[in-house]
This record gives sequence, C-alpha cells and structure tokens, in this order.
Amino acid sequence: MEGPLTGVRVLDLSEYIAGPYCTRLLAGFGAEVIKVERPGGDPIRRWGAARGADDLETGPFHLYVNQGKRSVVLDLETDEGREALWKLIDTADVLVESTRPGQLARLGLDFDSVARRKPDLLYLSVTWFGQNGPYSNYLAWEITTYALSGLMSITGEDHREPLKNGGYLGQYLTGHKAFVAAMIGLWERGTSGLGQQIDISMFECIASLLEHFDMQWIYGHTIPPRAGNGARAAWGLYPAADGWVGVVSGPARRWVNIGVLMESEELRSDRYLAPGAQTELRDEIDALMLPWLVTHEKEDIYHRAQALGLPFGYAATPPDLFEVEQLEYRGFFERIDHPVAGSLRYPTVAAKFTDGLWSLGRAPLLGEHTAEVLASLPIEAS
Amino acid sequence: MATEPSEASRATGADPYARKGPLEDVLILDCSMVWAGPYATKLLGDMGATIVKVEAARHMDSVRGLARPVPGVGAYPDNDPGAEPWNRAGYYNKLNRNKLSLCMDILEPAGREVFLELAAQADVVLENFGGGVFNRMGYTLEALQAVNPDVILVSMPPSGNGGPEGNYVGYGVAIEQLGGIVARTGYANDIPMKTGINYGDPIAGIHSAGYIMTALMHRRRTGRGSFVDLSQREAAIMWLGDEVVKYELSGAIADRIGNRDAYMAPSGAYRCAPDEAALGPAGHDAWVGLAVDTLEEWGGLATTIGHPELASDPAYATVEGRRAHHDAIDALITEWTLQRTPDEAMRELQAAGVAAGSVANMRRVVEDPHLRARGFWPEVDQPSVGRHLIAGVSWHYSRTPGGVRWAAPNLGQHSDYVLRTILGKTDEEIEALRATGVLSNYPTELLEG
Repeated sequence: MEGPLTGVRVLDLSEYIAGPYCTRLLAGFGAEVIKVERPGGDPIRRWGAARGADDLETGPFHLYVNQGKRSVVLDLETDEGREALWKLIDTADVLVESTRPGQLARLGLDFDSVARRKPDLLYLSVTWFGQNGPYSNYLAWEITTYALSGLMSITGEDHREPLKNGGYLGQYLTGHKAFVAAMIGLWERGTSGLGQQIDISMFECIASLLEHFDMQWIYGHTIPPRAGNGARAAWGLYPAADGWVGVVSGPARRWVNIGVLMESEELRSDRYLAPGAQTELRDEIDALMLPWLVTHEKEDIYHRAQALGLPFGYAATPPDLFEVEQLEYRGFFERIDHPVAGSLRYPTVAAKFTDGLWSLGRAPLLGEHTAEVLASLPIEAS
Repeated sequence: MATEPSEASRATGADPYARKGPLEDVLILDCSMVWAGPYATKLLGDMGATIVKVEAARHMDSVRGLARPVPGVGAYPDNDPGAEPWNRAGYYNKLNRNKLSLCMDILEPAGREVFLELAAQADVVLENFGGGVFNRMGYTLEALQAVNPDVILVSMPPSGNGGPEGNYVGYGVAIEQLGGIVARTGYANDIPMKTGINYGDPIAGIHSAGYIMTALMHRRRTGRGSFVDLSQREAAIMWLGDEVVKYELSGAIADRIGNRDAYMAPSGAYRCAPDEAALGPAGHDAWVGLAVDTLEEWGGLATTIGHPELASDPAYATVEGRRAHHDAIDALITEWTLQRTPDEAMRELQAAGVAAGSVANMRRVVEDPHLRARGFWPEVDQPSVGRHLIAGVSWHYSRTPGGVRWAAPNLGQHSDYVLRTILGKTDEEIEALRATGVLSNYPTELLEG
C-alpha cells in the first residue's frame, strides 16, 4: 500500500528503543527503513530473548520496535563499512542515530560532515541528554533521566522512595517525539529542499511532561509532594474482585451516580459534595464503596460506570487487552508471522485514517538484507 | 482587560503573530480542552503552526480553573488568583503559549456560521471531547467537508469512535490504567501506582501531533483530506508494545518491581545527605537514581563506593549475579550515598562511567544547569501575570528552530485579530457579533452570578 512516506528512505543507525521506535512509525507510514547494525546486532535484540544469550531474533523489544525494516550489517570501524554507509547516505532522506555525542565524529559521520556531502538529509540525533550542555557526555539509563527530569519526585508515596514509571515509557516517549519531529522536518524540507539536524533528548522529553507541577514552583514557589494514588476519596485505584479498578468521580454533577452504581443510598448524600469533603471524609466514603467494589469484577465495574457517564478505568494487563471487544472492533492487534518467533499478535497504530495509510510487516533477521541492499548500490565511482 | 498586542503593532506595521517557522503554512482550528489535545497543538504551535484555540465564555478550557477558585487549588503567581483567575492559571498558561484565543460560542447560530467560515480556511480541525460529543454539537465530518472538502478532522476520544466503547468518557488518569501503564508501575510486591501525572494525556497529545503531520503529508501527496480517529487507550498501549509481544511469546506478565530493572542490576533510588541549597525546603527528600548494565559500569560503581574487590568478583560479573545480591549491593551503595548530596553522588558516579542522576524536585529541575544551558526554560511575558519561566521545546532544529514566541492568551484576547486577519471581517461586523453575545471575554457564570 502507498503511504504518506512512500519513497522516503531512512537510514537507521540507532539502537535500543527510542530511535528504533521512531523509525518503526516512519516505516508504518510507508518509509523504507534500513536498519544498519553493528556486527553482532543491536543489543536490544537480546533483551528478553527467550532462547538464551545467542538468541538474536526473538526478543520482544526487537520484534516490536524493528517491525517493517530491512537489516544491513556494517562494521563502521572498517573502511569498507564506512564506504558502504556513505553510499547509502547518498540515497537517503533521513538518518537516525543514538550515539553519545562525539562518537560519530570520530568516524567522520557527524552532522557537519554528512551535511557537507548531503545537504538535504534530515539528521536526527536521539540521545539521553542531547548534543550540548554540561551533561551531554553523561551516561544514562531509563531511571537516570526519570530522576533528573523531576517526574520521579512526584511518583510514589510521600514517606517512601521516589518511584520510576514501569516499563520503558521514557524511551517510547522520546522515540515518538522524534517521529513527530521527523515529520515536521520532512514537511518543511518539502518546500525548502534542505535538511538539518534535529537534536532530541530523553531528559527534555520527560521534563516536558510535568503537567502543572513545574508551574507550582515557578508561579507558586511550592514543591509538590509525592501523592501516591491520590489524596481524596473516589479518585484513584481501588481493589475489585479480580484486580484494580480506577474510580473517577468527576465531574461533580455525576457524584450521585457513584451511589447509583454502588447501590448505596448513603453515598448519594450531598454531604460528600461540600468543598473539601472528599478529602476530609475519605475514610467514610471508602468504607461505603469498598464492600461493593470488592464483590464486582474490574471490567464489569468499568462498563457499568461508563453506562452512567462515569469515566472509570481499570488497571489492565496484557492478557486483559487481548480480550477487549473495543480493541477487537478497531483491529488494533494484528497477527504477523516471523520465521523464528512464529505467529504473534502485535499492536498496530493508535489512529484510523480515512485512507488507511498504515502497513507494517515483521522484524528482520540480523543481516537479512545486507547482500541485497549492498548489491543495489552503485559500483565505486570516486 | 488586557490590551491586544496587535492593536499597538498595527500602528507600526509589525504583526507579532506573523506566521513563521517550519509549520508556518499550517492553520489548526483547535477545539480541544484540558491536556491531551492542547499538548498536541502546543507541540505544533511551537514550530510555527497557527493555532486558533476556540473556547466559549460558558465553556472555558477547564484548566483555566474555576472563575472563582477554591483557596489552595491551582498554580497562580504567588498563589494569588487575582481578579481574573482564568487568565492566571499555570496549567493553562503552560500549555497554550503560541496560540490565538478565540472566545466564541460555537453552539449559537451566529457563532456556528463563523466557525464554519474558519473551518473552510483551516488545514486541520482538532477536538478531544468524549466520543460522539462533537458530532452531537453539529460538527460532523460531513458538515466540515461541505465547507472544506480537503479538511483533516482529528478526533481523539478515550477508546476511539464507533464500536462498543465509542461513546465512553475518560480522563488521562483512567487512560493510563486502561493502557496498561499503571499495572506496571508500583513498589515491588505492592499495589499498582499512578504515575504522578495523568500520563494518558501527553501520550495521546504526542500521538495526535504525529498523526496530524501524517495526514498533512498524505494531503500534500494526494490532495485528499482525512478523518483521523485516534484512540487514547491504544496510544498508551503502543508505548508498552514489548510487554504485549512478550505475553504473546511466553504468557509472562511483568511484575511490579519498583525501581529495579528487568535487564539491569543494580538499579534503584538511594537516599542521600540533605541538600537544601539544591532542593529548597524539601532538602531532606534527597535521593540519587542509578542503574548498571555492563561489567565496566559495575566496576566504576564498585570502585567509587569503596568496594573495588567487588569489581573483580566473578559472582558480581553479570546482571543475574548482581541481581542475586541486590539487597546487599543496595546497602553498600546507600552507606556511600548517605555521605553525599544527590548532586555530589551524581558527579562522582558519572565521572566513573555510572548512569547516575539526582532525583530532582520541581525546584531542582527548573534550576538544572544542563536544561538552562540548552535554553529549556525561556521566559515569557503573559499579559495577566507578567514575566515567568516556562518549559520550552524538547527538540532542537539546527536550521528552523522553534520556541516560545508569545505567552498563553487571556480569554478571547485574539478574537478580533482572528476574525480580521483570517476571515477579513470588518470592525463593524465584529461589533455586530459581539452585540449578539457570541463573542465575549468574560466567563458567563460570573455574569449570571
């Protein structure tokens, strides 16, 4: 299928999650993504791989973020490897890399060098701290940037240690923002015909998520504490018969429906709508809600609440997600075959477009396309 | 009432809102409220798209806060809501810089007519109401296509349009649960934990910005508009795609492991010596976060904390080996970190090649030297609050930089400007509209007492 990026060639030198997730999205919308891997492959291939240290093909991160790409192994420490890469650069529209600043300069592949030869190339650098500034040579993993960005200081409970978010949200966040940035860069290049460098860092991406909390310091000179699962009644996670349900009692005009849902006359009292009452009377309200909640299943509570206009949720796990009718209705998961990992369901993309626009195959085996891609390059001319 | 900058600048011929930047040719009519939709248009407005933010005097964006707020709620300058709190709310002012405020009731016939005139000019119309609400307001895809056949309409309800949950309602606090994030977050062997923010909102906002660009690229290529039907829940699931695939592969569901890491060890937040200089009055809440992947990193950590013998101990040479001794390693790290402030610990560990970072509170992150050096906290002058810092852009373009060009508008600050410059309305026509009440700069609830 033709996509909005059909004809756009992306050279992806990035590793781990953020950069590759960015190029997964570019591939889904039609770009041709060539994943350039070091001998031995992107280290993310090993994360979670079920078949031991030599398994480079069945890691869940790799299978997901590298969907729809071609894998070409090049040793950029050798003249031959760099020579092949330069030929690929000559044919590319976008280059994505995730090395610490300076590493590619050592190989003559930094932005300035590449831009001299290919001025219309969009050069995305997706890193922890960005290309300049006092931390630019610092090392980071997920927790390092969560710590520095402020988000960790407001996650968790006030009397316990600050808490990182689960999973690898910071890297997906950064990769998704890099995708948006690349699209904006391609849009502008469509009229100017010029490339540029886009420097995107996970530290700044997470620091951009602070909701109104940074404004509480900037405007109000107060430091927000860790608020756990919430400071007031009927707003947050509560136990259900089979897991955890998200009780969300707003807006105020719907409060009465909390009582209707939980079959409690007492909960319908206006007393609980007075300013501050849901904080002060939290224990009392919780005591009225809990007997009903713990005898009903989370998804049952969710659907009953929604029927009353209450914006409830529940803490879903992967097996829950595969049972959701709404996701089935939208065809969000797609079954794709892989020669080593077998047939698996994968998330697709979170939006439906009138003309489709999204199409994505499986992740490549390491070096699967090396010969074919190199054979397509022009014979040495210079 | 704030003056309208364009009045002054018209005299000099300079337009402070002149289109400029990589998206200078994009016009977005933004009916979204709260965080998810406004975050999308913040990202695109930072890069030069013209964002007309549509609110009504009887339906302001709720992050403007209550017209008469409850004491202690909301982020106001010096905690003073002032006479016009809706123009002074930190939450609103952060998200809506670089936008033009049109305060017009689009449910009234005269407002509806003007809205459709704007839709005819717009590249994109964005809404983030609950499923079906915008349609019930009369703004269906067909109605918008009737005035603009190539329009891109972006809808982003909690679970998408149509299907059994197409009319469901949701806030970010529930979306992060439904998307699987909350079940993954929490202290080890403990209950699920919310993320500290309403994470569902910015996730959906970033997705929305990307899909707007996708639809624009498609239209440039084919001339065709799009209906973009975004599911906020699906947006969150995409950021946990590895977990879904892992479950498919093995049936395994990830445990909540606090600050530990499935692929590294040690990993954690370690208590440090108090540091009021950096952390302010919360100086006792002092921690450093770190994680160790390679043997080289482990050697740097072990040596720095005074246990070089562990750097060469084969029992600690692998992530699995170190995980088996995680509690003991944590105790040794804490013995060392307690003697240092978070920033001291970070600097010493980074010098040894360890991925350590101070756990910054809001004061520390606003003062952060790296973010300051990269221009992440520019100042902006807002007509009702004056000059303050604001979180800037998180991407840096070498040739076409974006940035904060003007502050979030007062309610209705640009109504006249928008009608004049985009629709070519005369002063008389604008006055006539104002007389009908569809244009207003003052919350209706206050007029009605």
